Amino acid sequence: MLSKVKSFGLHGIDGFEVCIETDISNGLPAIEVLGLPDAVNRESIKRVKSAVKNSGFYFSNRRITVNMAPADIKKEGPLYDLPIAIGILTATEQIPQDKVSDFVFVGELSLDGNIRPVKGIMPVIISALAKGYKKIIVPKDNAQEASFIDGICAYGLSSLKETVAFLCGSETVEPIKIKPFSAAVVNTVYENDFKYVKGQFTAKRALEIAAAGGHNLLMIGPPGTGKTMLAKCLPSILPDMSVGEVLETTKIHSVAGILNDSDGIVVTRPFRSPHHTVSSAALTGGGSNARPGEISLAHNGVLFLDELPEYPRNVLETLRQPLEDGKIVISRAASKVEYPADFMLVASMNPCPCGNLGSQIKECTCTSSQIAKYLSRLSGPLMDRIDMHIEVDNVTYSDISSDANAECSADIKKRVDKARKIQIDRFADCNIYSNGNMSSRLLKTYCKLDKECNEMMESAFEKLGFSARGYSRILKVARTIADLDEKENIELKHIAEAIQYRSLDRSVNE
Amino acid sequence: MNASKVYYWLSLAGFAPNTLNKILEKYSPMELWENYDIILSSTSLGERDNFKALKQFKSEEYINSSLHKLAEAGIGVVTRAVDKMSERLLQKEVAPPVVLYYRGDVSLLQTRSFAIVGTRQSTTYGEETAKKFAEGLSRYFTIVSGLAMGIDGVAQKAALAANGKTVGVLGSGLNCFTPACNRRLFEEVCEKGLVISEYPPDAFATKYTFPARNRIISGLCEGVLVVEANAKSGALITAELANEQNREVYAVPGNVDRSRAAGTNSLIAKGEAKLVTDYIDILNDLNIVFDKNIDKIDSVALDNSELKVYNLLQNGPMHADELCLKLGIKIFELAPLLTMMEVKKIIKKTATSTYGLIAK
Repeated sequence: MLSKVKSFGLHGIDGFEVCIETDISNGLPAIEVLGLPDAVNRESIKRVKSAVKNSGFYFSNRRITVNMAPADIKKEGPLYDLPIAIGILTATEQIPQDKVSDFVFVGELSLDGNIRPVKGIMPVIISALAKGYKKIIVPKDNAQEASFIDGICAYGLSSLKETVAFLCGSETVEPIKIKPFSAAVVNTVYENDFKYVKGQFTAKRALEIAAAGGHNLLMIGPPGTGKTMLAKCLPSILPDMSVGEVLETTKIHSVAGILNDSDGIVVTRPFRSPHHTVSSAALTGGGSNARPGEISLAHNGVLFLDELPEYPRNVLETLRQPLEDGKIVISRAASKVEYPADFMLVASMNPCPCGNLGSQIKECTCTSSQIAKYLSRLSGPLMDRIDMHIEVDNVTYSDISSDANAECSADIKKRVDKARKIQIDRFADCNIYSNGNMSSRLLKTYCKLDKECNEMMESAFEKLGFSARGYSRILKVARTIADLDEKENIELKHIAEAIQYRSLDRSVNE
Repeated sequence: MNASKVYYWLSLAGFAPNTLNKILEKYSPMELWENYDIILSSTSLGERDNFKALKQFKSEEYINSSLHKLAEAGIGVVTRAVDKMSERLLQKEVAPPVVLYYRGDVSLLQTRSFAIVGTRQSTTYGEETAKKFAEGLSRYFTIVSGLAMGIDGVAQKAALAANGKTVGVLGSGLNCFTPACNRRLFEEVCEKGLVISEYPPDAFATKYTFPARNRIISGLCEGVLVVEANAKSGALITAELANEQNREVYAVPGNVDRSRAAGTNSLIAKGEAKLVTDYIDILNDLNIVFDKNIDKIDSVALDNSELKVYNLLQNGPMHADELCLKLGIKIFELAPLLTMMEVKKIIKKTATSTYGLIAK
């Protein structure tokens, strides 16, 4: 007899429908799996056999043919175990076909018949909903993740036996209760808070601006000045995510299998800091089984690259396209996958190989050619995409001894949220969320300068030896400063402040 | 055949300057041209490669054609026999070069000259200082240096930028210029100033040519300024040679804990150099009358808050954080002020996040 069971597979961060057809025919006992299964899928049949037997069901000893349609897309991962098991049980008439037709099944089986959690539940449910399915059976351990999608009945089940009982009607299971997003937003307590950072006024202000406008930022300073500490404080002031952003980020994390099971959703902006030994595939994503890379995991959040010049040049250059387009397209011989990668790049570096250039306290022992060589590891096109560069210096004694309490992150976050709200309203029709993503067209519309500001820009370029590539970057940052100031137009002081955050643009020998 | 061509011929053999000077003390150029084989055979020089080279090149035709080729390539030759050679260079203590190959304006050899030298591994502070001295001195002198990385190059660049004149002295032939990073500066000096070398155009620099070159730098000048030098810097050789040649030697002192100040500080300590902190000190020492009005501060309008920053910075450079605390303002109020004052050229960044007044 023939049976048909619906399931979903993953391509990139979207699900696609898979129909599992099972046919039992006369012949020698054998099991055949068709439809481009990968190694995990071929093994799947052995798990299914044990799971079926150990759940007390009968496993047919005739010839079994399993076809996963569409036949031309490669099927990856263990999430087809459960639908294949259901398909075989239906084909051997242990479950009536009409009971399974409405359902979508995903889940991995263990040999004793328990259902194990799988990656990518969130995108599967969203795609199933889009395809018009009303009921889906997911592993119980993935229930949290499933609980945020409204419009579809998701059932979290823990074993094959329970599933069959539920399908046949001998057991009732309540669908997973739908929770609103706000339920997941708890007041996160951050390990690092700006109130613990003394001094560093410039750096803190720059991080506030960067967080508000989604600007890419480079911190330059001697070792031990707190660049990493400052960066770690950054998550505590990042603006709240919108519903759209939460869904996008959760989908990626779900596909990558790094969702926190107890939350089941990503509500705080991700902060990813890959070590400088990272390979380009790990950074951008890819591999034979395409996986999202660090830049996609940092989608809507922060990618922090500590000691930027230590990253291999070829790895850094791969950042260029995602920084421009906000997504990465990974093309391999067999397939092409697109992952979103709209992140805020925060990087840190030393000013020279010995690290002491410009320090008041220590002597720099580098020659100018060594310094030039060190800086040349960062290509012009990459630096072009960084809006702000700031210098971080040793905290002065007067900073440490000052009694003034540093502002805490929560207060800064309030200003950041306000400024971000202004931007979201402004760009409502433009499909972007922040000033950092403004195109040249939007720049023209929203960053008009009056005569005074234009003169300021001109003299900055002339007298401070600025390079032309910084022009639009300064405009974007000035726009964010004006937003923080809650001003409609960019004023002279906003431009003047923005110029302070372009320290690498100054020509060395002005 | 004239004396000038004989000198040129002698230079092709690649003798060390001292050796050649010794021979030239005893014999006139024309004597050498006629009887070089007899004269040199009587000394140990008769066996050397230089001797073979002399033999190989001893043809008036060859010398004329090679001079012609050099002229076509834009390279001039000035010899002792021609009065274009600087008189200072011809002093005995200098071990004067027989021939100088040059590109550019050879008349600069006759002008009042001053050398600024220092380490190749310069600090930003050293470069700023060299620049300041070079700018000031270039109004009164032709600035002479070695077109090397670090202080040398910075001083010559600054002299050009201030519309002054500058002479570069190479330790290699004119066609083998190093370091490559100063190539553009080299071309600029060839065009607007003068580059000289006592080595034939295709000679590469060696370990020994640079100290020999240093004697020409100091020899050309009335005085030598050492801006930054560590304990083993080549600039100290220049200072030593300058003392031997009875030139004035000046040095800029530095912090006691900085390695790049060790050389200059020791020069001052040993009494081998006079301590200077400003180019005016040098002008005074050389009894040069200078125009006090040239360096008047342009008065710039400062608004109230800018004036507060200005007053604080009069005690020396200050960190931005400290400025914030002392003025009781937030960084986003200070940052625009700093930009405005930078643009007005009142202050500048002296170190990371640290600002100081621009000394006028």
